[in-house]
Amino acid sequence: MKDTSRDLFPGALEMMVLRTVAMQPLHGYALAQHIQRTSNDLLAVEEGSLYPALQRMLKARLLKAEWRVSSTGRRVRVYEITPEGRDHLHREVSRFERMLEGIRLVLGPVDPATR
Amino acid sequence: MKLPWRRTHDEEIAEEIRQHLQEAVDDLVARGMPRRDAEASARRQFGNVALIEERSREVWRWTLASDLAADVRYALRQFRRAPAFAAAAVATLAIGIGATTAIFSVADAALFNPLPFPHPDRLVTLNEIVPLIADRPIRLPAPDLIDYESRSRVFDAVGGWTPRTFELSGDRESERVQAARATSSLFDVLGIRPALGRTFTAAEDRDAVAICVISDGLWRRWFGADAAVLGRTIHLDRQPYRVIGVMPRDFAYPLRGTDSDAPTDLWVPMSFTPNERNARADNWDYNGVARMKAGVTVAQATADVDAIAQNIVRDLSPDGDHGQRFTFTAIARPLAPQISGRVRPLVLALSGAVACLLLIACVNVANLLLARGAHRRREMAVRAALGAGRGRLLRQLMTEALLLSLMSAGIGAVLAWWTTSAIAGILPSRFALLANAHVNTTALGFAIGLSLCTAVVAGIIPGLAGASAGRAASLNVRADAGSIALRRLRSALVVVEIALALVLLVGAGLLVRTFQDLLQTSAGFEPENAVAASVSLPPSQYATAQSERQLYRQLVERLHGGGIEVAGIGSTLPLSGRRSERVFWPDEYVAPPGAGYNIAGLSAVSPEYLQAIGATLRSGRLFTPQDDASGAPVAIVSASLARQYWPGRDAVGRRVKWGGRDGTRDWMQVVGVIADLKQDSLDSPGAIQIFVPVDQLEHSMEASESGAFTAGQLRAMYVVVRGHVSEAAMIARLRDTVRSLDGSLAVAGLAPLTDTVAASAAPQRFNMVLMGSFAAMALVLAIVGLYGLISYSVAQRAREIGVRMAMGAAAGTVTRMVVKEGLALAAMGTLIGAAAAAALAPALRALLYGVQPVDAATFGVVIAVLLTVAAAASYVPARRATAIDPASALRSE
Repeated sequence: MKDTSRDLFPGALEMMVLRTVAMQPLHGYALAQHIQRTSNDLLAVEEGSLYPALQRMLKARLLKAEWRVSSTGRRVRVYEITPEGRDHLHREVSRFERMLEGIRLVLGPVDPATR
Repeated sequence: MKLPWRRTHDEEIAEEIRQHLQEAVDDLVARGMPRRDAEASARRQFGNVALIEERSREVWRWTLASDLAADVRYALRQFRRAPAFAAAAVATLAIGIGATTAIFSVADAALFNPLPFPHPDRLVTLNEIVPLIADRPIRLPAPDLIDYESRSRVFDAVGGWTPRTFELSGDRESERVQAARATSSLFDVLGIRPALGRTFTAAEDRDAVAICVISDGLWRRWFGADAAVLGRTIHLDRQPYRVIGVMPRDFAYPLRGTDSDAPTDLWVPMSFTPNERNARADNWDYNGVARMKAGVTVAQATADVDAIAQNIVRDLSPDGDHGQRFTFTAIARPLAPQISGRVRPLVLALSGAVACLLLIACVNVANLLLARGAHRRREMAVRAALGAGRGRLLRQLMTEALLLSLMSAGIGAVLAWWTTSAIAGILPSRFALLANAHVNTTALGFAIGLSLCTAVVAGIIPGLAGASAGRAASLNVRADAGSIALRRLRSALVVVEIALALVLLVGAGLLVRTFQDLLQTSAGFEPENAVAASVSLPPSQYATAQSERQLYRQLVERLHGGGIEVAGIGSTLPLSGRRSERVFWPDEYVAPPGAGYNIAGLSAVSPEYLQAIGATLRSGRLFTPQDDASGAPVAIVSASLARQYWPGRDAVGRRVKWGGRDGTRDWMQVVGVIADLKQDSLDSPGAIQIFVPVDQLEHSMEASESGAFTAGQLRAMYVVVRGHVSEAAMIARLRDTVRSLDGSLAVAGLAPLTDTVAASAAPQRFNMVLMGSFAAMALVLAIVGLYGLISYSVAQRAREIGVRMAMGAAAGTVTRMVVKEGLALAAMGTLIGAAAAAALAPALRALLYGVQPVDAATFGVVIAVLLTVAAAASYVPARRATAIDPASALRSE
C-alpha cells in the first residue's frame, strides 16, 4: 500500500528540516537524503518540495545559508539553524506533541460501557 | 532597487537545484545505475523542476511593486509583439471613453446644472398670459413688474431687465455693445457680487444716475483689465457714464442662447421713465426674474403674483375690438428648465449616440480580446504545462487587461478634455449654455469603469479556458468545442455592433437630411451678392426723426456706385430675430368668434430696401421713391398675412391700418405682396409682416404718438447693399461710407447675408456634425469588428478552403462563400438595427426639419451604405482565402 507516503500535514516538513539542521548544518541534497533515511523511507518526500520550504524558512530567518565546498568537492549551499529557528522548533514540537496527544485520546480504545 | 539582488537570488536557487540533481545522478551512477536511467530517476524523485524553481522564487516575491513591474513588463512585451492589436484596442476604448465623457459632461452641465448662480432652484421668471395676444407666457409691462416687486411676499428679491444696445465711443473705434437695463435688485436675485467695485443702489436706479457695471469681457477688451477702471467715464450713445463695477469672468446674464445671442457687455440702471411707469397693459417688453424665499414652492409663487395681477385687472377698463374684457394671469416659472429645455432634445440625442458608441467600442474590444484569447490558447496551455499556476496566468491576463484599460483611460481622458473644449469652441449661440461644461469626473469614471470591466472580462475568459481546458487538448490546436462557442459569441457581438452602428447612422442621416432641407428652404430673400450691417443712432446727436432720416438718405446716396447697385435701409432684417409687433386691422375682414388681436410685424423701409434684400414680389409692386411723405399712404404685406386675412382674394388694393377695428388711424393701401420672410431662423414659420415706407411712418400714426414712435423705429436700422463686386469690397465701402458721415458711429454685424443664413443653420449644422462624427466612428468600429471576424474565420478555415480548392472549387465560389458569411452577419445586424432605429427615431423629432423620423430614403441609403461597406470588408479576407495554396494548407499543423 502507498499509505505510508501520503501528504504531510502543513508545517511537518519545516519541523523535520529544522530538527535535522539543528543537529548539524547540511546542504539540500544531504538534507533530503537524511530525512528519507531516518524516516525509514516511510515519508516519501518529493525532494523538490524541500526548496520552497527552505526559502520560506530563510526568509523567516529561521535558517541561514552559506555557499561552501563539500567533502566531494561540490559547490553546495549549507543551511544552519538560527536562534530564532531553535525557538520556533521548540514551540512547534511541543504544539505538535499536544496535538498528537489529542489525536491519540480520540483514536484510543473506547469502552463501550461509557457511551 | 531590489531587482539586481533578486536576480542573484533567483540564480542561487537555480544553481542549488542544479547541484542537487547532479549529486543525485552521481549517487545513482555510483550505485551502478546507467547514467541515462539515473538522470530520469533523479528528476522523477525531484519533481517538476520548473514549478519548484518558480515556487521557491515566489517565496521571495513579496514586493508588490516589483511583482507588478514584472507583470507589466511582460504585458508590454506582449503588446509590442502584437502592436496592431494593442493599438486597435487602446484607440477603440479611448474613443469610447473620450466621446462618452465629453457628451455626458455636456449633458450634465446642460440638464442638471444649467444656471451658474447659487440655489438655482429658487430662481423663477415672472410672466403674464394675455389671452388676447397669445396663449403662451410673455414678458411684463413695466408697471406690472414694479407692482410684483413692491407687493409680493414670497420672494427674497424681484428684479427686471430689458435689453438694449449702446454705441460705445471714446479713444478707439466705436463699437456697438450689448447692454441690459437692469433694476438694482437684479444682482440680488441672481446672488452674484461684482469682482470689482459694486452694483447700483435702489436710490441710483430711481434717480437715473448715469452709471454702469461692465462685464469682464468689456473690461479686458476696452480697458486692458486695468484695476483702476472704477470711477472712469465711458461714453454710451455719446453720454458720459461712470463705471462703478466689474462683474466676474463667468457671469453671463441675460443668459446667452436664451435671452440674447450676444454676450452682455454692460448693465445700466433700469430707471423707468414716467411713460414706462404709466403704460398699463402695454409694452410687454420687460423681463421679470425673482428669487423665491427658502421653502416657497413655485405654485405658491404663482398664486402670490397672480393675486397681484387680478388686482391690476380689476382696475383696468374694458377694451378690445371684440367687446371682450381685457384679462390676463401672472405665473412664476422655474428658470432652469426654460434654459435646459432649448438644448434638451439635442443633448438627449447625443447622449444616446455616445452611449451606443461606447457600447460598440466595448463590444469591439471584447471581440478583439476574444480573438486574441483564442489565438493565445496555445501559449496559455504551454505555460500551464511548463508549470505556471492558474493564479499566475490569471494575474498575468488581468495585468494585460488592466494595462490596456489604463492606457485607454489616459488617452480617453485627454480626448474627453479636448472634445469638451472643442465643442465649446464650435457652439452656435443657441447652444451657448453648453459652453459651461467641464469634464465630469463621474462620467469619466463611469466610462473608464465600463471599459475596464470589458477588458477584464473579455481578456480573461478565453485565457482561462485555455489554461484549464485539457492541457494536451489545447496544445493540439484543432478547433475544439470551446473555440466554436467563442466564434458564435464573436459573431453575435459583431451583429450587435452593426445594429448599433445602423441606429447611429440613421440618426446622423436624418440630421443630414434636416440640414439639407434647411439650406434649400427659402428664407424669402436672396442672400448672394448682398451685405448687411446695422447702425444705431445715438439720440443725443440725432434728436429728431428728421435728423435720423437725413443721415439715412445721405448714406444711401453715397453708397451708390463703386459696384453697388442697390442700397436700402430697413428697421428689420430677415433671420435677425429682431421684430416690432403691433396690433393692426385689415379691411374687409370678418374676425371669427373668440379671435384675439391681429398682430403683425412692422417694418419701416426705404424704397430700395426690398430690392436690396432680394425679396420675391408675388403680386402688385414694390415701393418707389414716389411713396414719400407727400404720397398716399401705402403698404406691402407678406404672403402669409394676405392668405390669412383675405384667403382666396388678391390682397393688392385692400387696406390695413394700425390699431383696432374702431381705431381712428389712417388706412394704408396694400400695393404689393411679397413672399414670406423668415425673421427668426430658417426653421421658423414665415412672418406676418407689414412693410411701410420710412417717409410715411407718421402718416398712419396718431399725432400724439407719432413723434416718439417714429424716432424709436428709426433709431436702429439695417443697411443692406447689393452689387456685383466682391463681398469684401462692399463691406469696405459700407464701413467707409458710414465713417465719412459720422466718424463715431458704430457699424455692427457687418457681414454678407450668406453668413446670416449660414449662422441661422448653425445649430442644425452643429447637430449634424456631432452626430455624423459619432456615426462615422461607429461605422468604422463595426466594420473593423466584422473584418476582424471574417479574417479570423478565413484563417481558421484555411484547411477547409484548401480542401475545397484542391477538389476544384473556383476562386469565385470561395470568395462568394466568405463574402456571404460576412453579409449574413451584416444583414442580421442591419435588420435588428433598422427595427431599433425605427423605434428610436421619433425621439429625434424635435431636431428634425422637413423630414419624417422614419424616413424611407434615409433608412434605404444608410442600409445600402452599411451593406456595401460590409461586403467590402468581407471581400478583402475572401480574396486572401482564394490565395491559399491547397497543398500547404493541408500540410500545415
